[in-house]
Amino acid sequence: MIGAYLEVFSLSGVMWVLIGTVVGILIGSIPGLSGAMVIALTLPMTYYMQATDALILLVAMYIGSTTGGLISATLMRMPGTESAIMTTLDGFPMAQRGEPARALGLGVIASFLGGMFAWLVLTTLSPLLSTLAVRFGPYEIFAMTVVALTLIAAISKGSFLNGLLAAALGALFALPGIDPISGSLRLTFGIAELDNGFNLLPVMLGLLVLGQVMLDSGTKNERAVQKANSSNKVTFSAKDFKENRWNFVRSSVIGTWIGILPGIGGTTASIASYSVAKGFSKNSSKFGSGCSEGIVAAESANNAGTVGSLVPLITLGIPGSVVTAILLGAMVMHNLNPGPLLFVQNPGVAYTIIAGVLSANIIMLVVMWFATPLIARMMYVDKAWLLPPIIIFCFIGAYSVSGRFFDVIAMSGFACLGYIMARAKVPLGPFIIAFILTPMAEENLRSGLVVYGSSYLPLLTRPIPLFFIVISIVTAVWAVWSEISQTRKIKL
Amino acid sequence: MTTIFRLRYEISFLILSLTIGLLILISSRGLPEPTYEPMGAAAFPSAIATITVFLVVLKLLRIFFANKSHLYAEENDQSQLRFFKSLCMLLIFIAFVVLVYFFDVRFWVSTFLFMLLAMVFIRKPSGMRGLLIQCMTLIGFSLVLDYVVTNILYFNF
Repeated sequence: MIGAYLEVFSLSGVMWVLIGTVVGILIGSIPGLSGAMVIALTLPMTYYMQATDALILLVAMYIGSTTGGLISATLMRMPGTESAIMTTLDGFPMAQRGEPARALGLGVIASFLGGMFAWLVLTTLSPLLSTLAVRFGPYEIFAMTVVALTLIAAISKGSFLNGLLAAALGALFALPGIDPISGSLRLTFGIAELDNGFNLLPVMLGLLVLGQVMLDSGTKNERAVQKANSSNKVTFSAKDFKENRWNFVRSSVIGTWIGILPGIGGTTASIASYSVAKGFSKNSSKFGSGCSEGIVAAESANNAGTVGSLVPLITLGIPGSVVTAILLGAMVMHNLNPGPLLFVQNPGVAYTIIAGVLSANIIMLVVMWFATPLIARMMYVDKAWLLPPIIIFCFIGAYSVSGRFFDVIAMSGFACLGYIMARAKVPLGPFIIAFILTPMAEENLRSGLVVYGSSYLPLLTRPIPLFFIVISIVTAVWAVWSEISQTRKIKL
Repeated sequence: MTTIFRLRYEISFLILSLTIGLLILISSRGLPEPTYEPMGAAAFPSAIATITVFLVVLKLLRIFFANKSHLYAEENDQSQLRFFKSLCMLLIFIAFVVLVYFFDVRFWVSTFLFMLLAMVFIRKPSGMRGLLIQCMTLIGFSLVLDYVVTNILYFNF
């Protein structure tokens, strides 16, 4: 563990974290570009890096991009990332009131404290959870993937049915290739390039990056006409800290807890935390008009949620969001075994990720504090200069997987699919997570059948699978019920 | 709120999902029977494909029986234009891939042409001077990228 911290805080480690954090903040601050996009684009470049360097770079980008959304949310009322939506409610009015420095300061400190709290939880909880998870058998792992998929489909944007459909389609695309148990080829339709199935990288680059670029190229060039507030310094007072001390703690706890649950993520964390803060506040009527408590609640929770989502990733190998799905892909790409065995087989890697979180949080605080004026100016990059290079990097990224044009063609196909899904308001998260989890689910279900003599009964008699299945059913029933009641409300 | 244009995308997505679901369902029937393990290679794909088809039918029924009074017509020209622009961007990208793969054009040349065309398509340059600066920058960028791709990453297009 100490070795991992020494590595992360070495010169090269700090350099990777600094690069990742700065790029993440920059991309996060540009409305329309997301952390998922930049991390997916960076993934092929990490082929040539050591696994630990690659992972700390990507984790730093994740944390940086979550925080970067605060800048445009506060100065432009355009959340750079989805999880910064709640920050716009109070951040922008405070900036308009002539206090942009205070709004940014509150956001930066809240993000830092939220991230640090979640890091503490990650440090203490992850080894304990992984010790428990190492004892999981095939049915436990299968049930865990089912609960992750159900939660992701239920919580993602749009309807539960759309989420399930996206997950089912993602699972279908994961099936062609080598059968995980018998080793024979299946569903390749005579296409030799499909013998190993679809590569993860072209799928992610197509859906998350190229599809988004196609969407962006069809919209107006708004970025060029937006004007930010002229003063972009960051300040923070002891009075603000004193007023919000319990809010910091409460929002960080909510954010971390929601982040740990698969599929829910930073946006829900910040919405929940904002609502709770409003409920507890003596100034609840001031929420939405530049109230410091609103900014603190939203920013503490979304950063805590970001770090919290790493808990199921490194302990169970279950990605809770699109970005953690990409991180899972990065681990697989570097021949690591994500999941319960990570702490057993590669404890150095697991602790490096945890140390990377600490380092990224500290560097994020420093960068945001001193470089926000500069970053705020760079938010106005013209779309015409931004989108074409991204497409070229997508092309290079897809081709670099195995030097085949098939991957470039596949990426283009997935970009079209991503475009259609985005316009039809079908969430992409369940698709990507199902694409990653399906091979794991199938392999464990079939192994379980072999182990338990062709019986499905242990899924209901063993406590852990039963617990996960009950959660899946409850989640599904809740999602269907809330959708029906929502439809009724619309009809009324 | 659902616009007519969104509905078209929803139906396109459903048709696509249905096609893939049926394709996998039919193809998995041809897979060999299990020999040494209970489930075999076909069961899981069949189950997922069946679920997909079922969900598509459910969604179609929901769209069919939905209250149509909540549908509203988006500004049709604007939506068409958005679609057209996105399609053009994809076509420009495909043209770039064709140039590199089929016509064996040097990578920096095709990159330069693609980027120039894409940039001009997204935003018209401000005068001849702007265009000239754009071209010079893009040539520099394309040459650097060409060096990285051929001499560092050893891509063999």
